[in-house]
Amino acid sequence: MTRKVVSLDERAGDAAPLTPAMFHILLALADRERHGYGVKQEVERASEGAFQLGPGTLYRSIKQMLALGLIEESDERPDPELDDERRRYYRITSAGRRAASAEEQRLARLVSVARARRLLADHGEAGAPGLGGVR
Amino acid sequence: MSATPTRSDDHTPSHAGARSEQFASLAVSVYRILLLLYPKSFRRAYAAQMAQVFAASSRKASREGGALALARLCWFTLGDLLATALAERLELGMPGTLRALYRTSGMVAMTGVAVWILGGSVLSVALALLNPAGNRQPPFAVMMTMPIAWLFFVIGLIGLYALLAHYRGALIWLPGTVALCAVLALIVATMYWTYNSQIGVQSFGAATVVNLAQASVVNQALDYSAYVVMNQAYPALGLALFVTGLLTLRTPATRLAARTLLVVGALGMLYYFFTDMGAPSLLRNTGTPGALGMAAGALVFFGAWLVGWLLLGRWLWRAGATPVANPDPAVTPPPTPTGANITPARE
Repeated sequence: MTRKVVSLDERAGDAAPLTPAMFHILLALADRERHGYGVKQEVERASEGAFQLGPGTLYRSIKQMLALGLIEESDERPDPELDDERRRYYRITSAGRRAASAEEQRLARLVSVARARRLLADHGEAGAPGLGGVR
Repeated sequence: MSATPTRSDDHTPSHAGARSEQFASLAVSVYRILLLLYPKSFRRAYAAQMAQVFAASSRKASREGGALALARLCWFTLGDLLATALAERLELGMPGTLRALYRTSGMVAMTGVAVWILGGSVLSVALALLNPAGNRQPPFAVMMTMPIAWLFFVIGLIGLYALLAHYRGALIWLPGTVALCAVLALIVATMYWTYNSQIGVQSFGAATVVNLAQASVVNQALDYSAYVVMNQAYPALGLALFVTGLLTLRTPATRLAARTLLVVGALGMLYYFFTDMGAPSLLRNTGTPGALGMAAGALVFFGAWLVGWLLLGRWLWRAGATPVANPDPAVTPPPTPTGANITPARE
């Protein structure tokens, strides 16, 4: 029996919906690489404190995302003089970007359905509901 | 008039800050201990970073919100830790626990064999010395060595089953389950029988031999088979459990010892077969029909025992020779992050 060789990149693109924590982490890594605490701070800042990421959820998600190829460890240090060398930095991969994009489209479809059924007020583009509070 | 800050006003915030810092340090120390709840592999990979994140978070919380904010952070982090530690352990299928079961049950089985030999010897001597004199029972402590040894046997057998089932790749292994239930039933039945008749196993064997001369061919065969099972099953079982116990220790020396015991056990059974089954005195006492019945029963049961022993030996030999499949899956590094092939092509 021959089975198709599937790369992690391909698999990640077809993956099931991301967990809220994974999606938040991908968003936090979208613009630059960060260490774990940096990711946590960025997630809390972006969600205006509504989404808190505990260390367990953070590193369990990181472990799963590394395995799925959505993120990868970075060897580079933004400022080796100032930075704690024990810290590990993570950056988003192309598969991670595709997964985040797919998740964004999935959520957008859900939001449009909710609006069509008058479950959400139409705030327009600028006031689109955030992801805060979703766990 | 402007209010001049008092000395205590001047120092209260820094004092509270220092206490918050102390609480934060304490919380981080406790958190480091609680990280032990995660599987070892997860700890190795992430515990230091998690502690760093929590330390930074707790410093920030105590600096910005004081003790209350720190308490809220601790409460939230505790829930996060418990939930994710449980999830990690469930995801890994608790392999560490399974390995601990092997080792523990192996040690228990060997202890059971030691108790069985020691207790059985003392019990035999006590029965021989006390019963003829005044039909007195041996001391309670001596009598209790048998059920204690059987309890060890039961636990050891469950470990043996788990070990074999693991090598089969599944814990629910039907033939193993049936065999385990059969042996456990034999142990329970023997315990009941032994204490119901209030005599030792050795006395049962002697009584069976005496009865052989008066029973029919079928009964003789059954009785002799029972005698063989009663007298030989437990030593064989004990030896098997001892071998299993050695194997679970998984060192080259214990593997060698286990293999030696396997060979010794097989030779011992062959010796018993050719000496006891063909004992001239037994044959003389039972006559031709009795001898035929005995021979038939003995052949069937010795054959079954020999085949069973050889099969067990094969299993255990393989178990001793083959390293545990994926001995610690938790330690296995995660797959290569990007572009790695996760499903190899097979023909």
